[in-house]
Amino acid sequence: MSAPRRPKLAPGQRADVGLILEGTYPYVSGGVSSWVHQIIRGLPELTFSLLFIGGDSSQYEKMRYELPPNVVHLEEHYLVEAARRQQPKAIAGDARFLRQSEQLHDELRARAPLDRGALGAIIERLESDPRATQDDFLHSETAWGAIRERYLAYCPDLSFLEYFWTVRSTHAPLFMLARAAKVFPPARAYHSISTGFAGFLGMLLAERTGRPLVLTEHGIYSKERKIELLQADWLKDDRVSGGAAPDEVSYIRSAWIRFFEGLGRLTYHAASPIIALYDGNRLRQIADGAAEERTRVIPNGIDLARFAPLRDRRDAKVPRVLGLLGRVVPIKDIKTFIRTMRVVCSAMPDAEGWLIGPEDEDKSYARECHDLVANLGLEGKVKFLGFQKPEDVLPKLGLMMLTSISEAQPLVLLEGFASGVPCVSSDVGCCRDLVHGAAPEDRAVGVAGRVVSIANPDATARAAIELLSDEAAWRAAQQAGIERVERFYTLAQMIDNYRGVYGEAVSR
Amino acid sequence: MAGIGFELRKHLRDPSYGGLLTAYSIAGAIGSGPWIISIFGTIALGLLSVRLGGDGGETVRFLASVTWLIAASLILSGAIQLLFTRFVADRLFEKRRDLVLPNLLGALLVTTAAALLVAAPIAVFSFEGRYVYRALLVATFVVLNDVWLLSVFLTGMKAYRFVLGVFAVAYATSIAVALLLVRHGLEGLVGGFFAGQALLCFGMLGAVARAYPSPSLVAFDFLDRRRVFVDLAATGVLYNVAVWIDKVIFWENPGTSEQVIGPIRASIVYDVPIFLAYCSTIPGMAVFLVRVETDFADHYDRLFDAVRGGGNLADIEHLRDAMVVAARDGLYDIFRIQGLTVVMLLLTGRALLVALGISPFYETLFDVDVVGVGIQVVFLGVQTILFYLDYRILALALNGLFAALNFVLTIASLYLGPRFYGYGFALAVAATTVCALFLLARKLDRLEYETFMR
Repeated sequence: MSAPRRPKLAPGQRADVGLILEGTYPYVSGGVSSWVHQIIRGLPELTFSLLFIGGDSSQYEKMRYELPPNVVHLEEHYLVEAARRQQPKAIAGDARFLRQSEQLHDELRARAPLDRGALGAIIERLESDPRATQDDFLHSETAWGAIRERYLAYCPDLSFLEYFWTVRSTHAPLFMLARAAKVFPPARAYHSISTGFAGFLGMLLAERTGRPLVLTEHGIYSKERKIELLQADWLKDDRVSGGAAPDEVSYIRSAWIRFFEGLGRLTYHAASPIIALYDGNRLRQIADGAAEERTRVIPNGIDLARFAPLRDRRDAKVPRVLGLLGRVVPIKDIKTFIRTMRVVCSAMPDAEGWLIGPEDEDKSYARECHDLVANLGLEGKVKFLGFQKPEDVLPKLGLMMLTSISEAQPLVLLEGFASGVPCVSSDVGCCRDLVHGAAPEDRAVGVAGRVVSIANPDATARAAIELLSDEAAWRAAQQAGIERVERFYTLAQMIDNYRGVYGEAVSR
Repeated sequence: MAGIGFELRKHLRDPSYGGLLTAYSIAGAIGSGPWIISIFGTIALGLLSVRLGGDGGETVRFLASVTWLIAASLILSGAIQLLFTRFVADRLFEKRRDLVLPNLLGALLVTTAAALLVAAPIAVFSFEGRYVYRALLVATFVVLNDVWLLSVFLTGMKAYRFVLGVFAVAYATSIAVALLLVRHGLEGLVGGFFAGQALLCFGMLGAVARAYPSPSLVAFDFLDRRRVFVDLAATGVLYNVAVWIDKVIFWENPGTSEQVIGPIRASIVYDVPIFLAYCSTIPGMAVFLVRVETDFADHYDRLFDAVRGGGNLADIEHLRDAMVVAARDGLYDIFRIQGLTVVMLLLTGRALLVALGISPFYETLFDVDVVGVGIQVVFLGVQTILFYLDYRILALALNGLFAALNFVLTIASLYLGPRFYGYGFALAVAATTVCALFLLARKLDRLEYETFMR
């Protein structure tokens, strides 16, 4: 394989759209990355510059996509930097900057509207000299005074050491992002594919250049971080002298959660439009501080030219194959799928369950899944096929299965519909809308499968058996799915929507 | 090697005056014992030889030789004393006791090699004749360097009582061996001294080997740049240079000194008062040991246990205040007790000198030296607190200042004439100590900021 293309803009040149990508395209494969790739390829008339934000450089070594020719610039920035080895100097610190920062933190904490003056001054200071501002935060006496006061005001019983390092580790990446904002070549508009660090950087870039920031959220970043943080065992729980109730979320955990919510609010503050994949997430964005008039929905779209021909490759008879396309990871709840297969196989001995997706992301979970298959006596019935091209497997499936405990708008359901495979899906994200329809004219199209509650193998199996044993019902679901995708979820529609969004932003 | 702190505290908790006196007597003995034994042991060696019909000239040569050996070895081994003690303290904090012994042997190897490299050329090229004496000079110099490393290490581990005992046994051995060799004159005396130091060296090494067993023999982790503080090496050298530079100037200035043997010179006029004056620091050293190495160190441990152990800020600040009070009270007590000693010696100095059979001609210089060494004890206290708080650069700068001032002011005192002898040293240590106190107060005021943010 030839060395991947690494385009760089010459100084003074600008791209039409600067994409800000946190932990995704082009170094990580997955739904969001494929989506980015589609947008770039679908809009060849625009040029794109990419700013990738990663955790640390060793995790992302290889590009997973061949960059389309209209990508004119790529640069990477990493949150974890090598620590600087130098004796820090004692510095007094900038008292005015500190007051503005306190005001911003108070506003974020109170979920109050953000004051443009204070935020603007903070951004200006941060952008004009990120290093000095970082030194100020890390080593100044005023910063010390502020950390001390806020600790005494909000959590005087907490381990001070833990509080202190939480403040430091949450804020440290922001200074790196400010340096990244300084070097990233200007674009006519910026587009961040999440809030969080990417959104924060998008805000800095938009403020710095006066150009608009578009935000698209596939999931809800702050909600995903919250789920992770509530499960994270690297966070020690408080050693409160008084003793907090055991089920109470510890202060440190909630501080981390609040930090990501704050990044979200800052992004919503700067971005327009604020795009969600479906209405449920749009409402959630509004609840989290997005101005309603700036929000809108642009659903995912499917490349019909790629999937529609697969319908002709199907057997006349409905195959009794239940397929789950997805990585073998806990969030997809593969175990519920396996347990579902136990019930299905008891009723339909000729049924098979196919797990189609890589197993290398969470090896111990994958091993547990294999063990479960063996324990339930499903060897030969449930097959781990690894990664497969969708075109090769979709015509062989009778049902598209989705047992995830969290999703936004899963592309696999739409791809299944487009190629003539109805689904049984857990009730997460907008799966109910995809199966039953959202708007009235959409609902009129019909029901494209079944929706069941999460982690419920019996209900999932009943729904699957019902569809597979009643050919009329199955055909009706297939037709509804095909029609729904063709009317509401085509790639062409999605690309057209973004062509409009970018056109408006670039000329703003 | 149980710390002495426990025993001292037991006596201190006794509310009677006797308990207090016992505590301070123990502290005085273990704090000053080793070097008091060294001074008097060495002088006793010299005097014994005169008493037994030895040549008075040989005694002078012996004392001057030993003084030079001690000065030079303290300066040379200063490079490794603090550095190594800190290295061990860090490893013990990491619970790596097994690293202590192999690295100590490594440090002794490095020290021995360095001492040989320094001493051998001087012994070969700067002296004539007396081959046995010259060989003994080199051997003693090497062993002294190792002894300083070991004794600073053991003192750092707070094994005071053991150090005191082994010093006493070693000097008794020195005297016994010197008596056996008395008919060999200078060589016999130096040989006796060497025998005692060698016993001291191996005695201490044996104790460490028993206390810190290890599967490996020799290691040089203490030279690993990532794990070692080079500034501590510089501080160790500078401190010993600062303490000796005025003496060296007086030895090398022809008007205040005389040639003794080879390149070795002595300054009777300057040496006698200052070595006597050092004996006056026993009370101050006792207080130092009780208040700084015990009280302050306990408060320090409590504070940083609270920080690391997840204490809240109110507790941390409370413990910080208590530690600052301990530091302030400790330094103030040293100042008070040593001040009282100084005043008493100023009042009785002349009589004391006469009683000791020393010419009252030395009185003025003795008075100035008593003040100077008294202040030096306070400086030692401040410096120890700075090391605890890890203000290494500050300690380095202060010792640099001490060395520079002592150098400049001592030369100035030579130009100003005999009435000003001793003022160079006294003013240097006083000015440095005032600076040190000022800077320490500033650091203690912003201790949490300094601890967390720098």
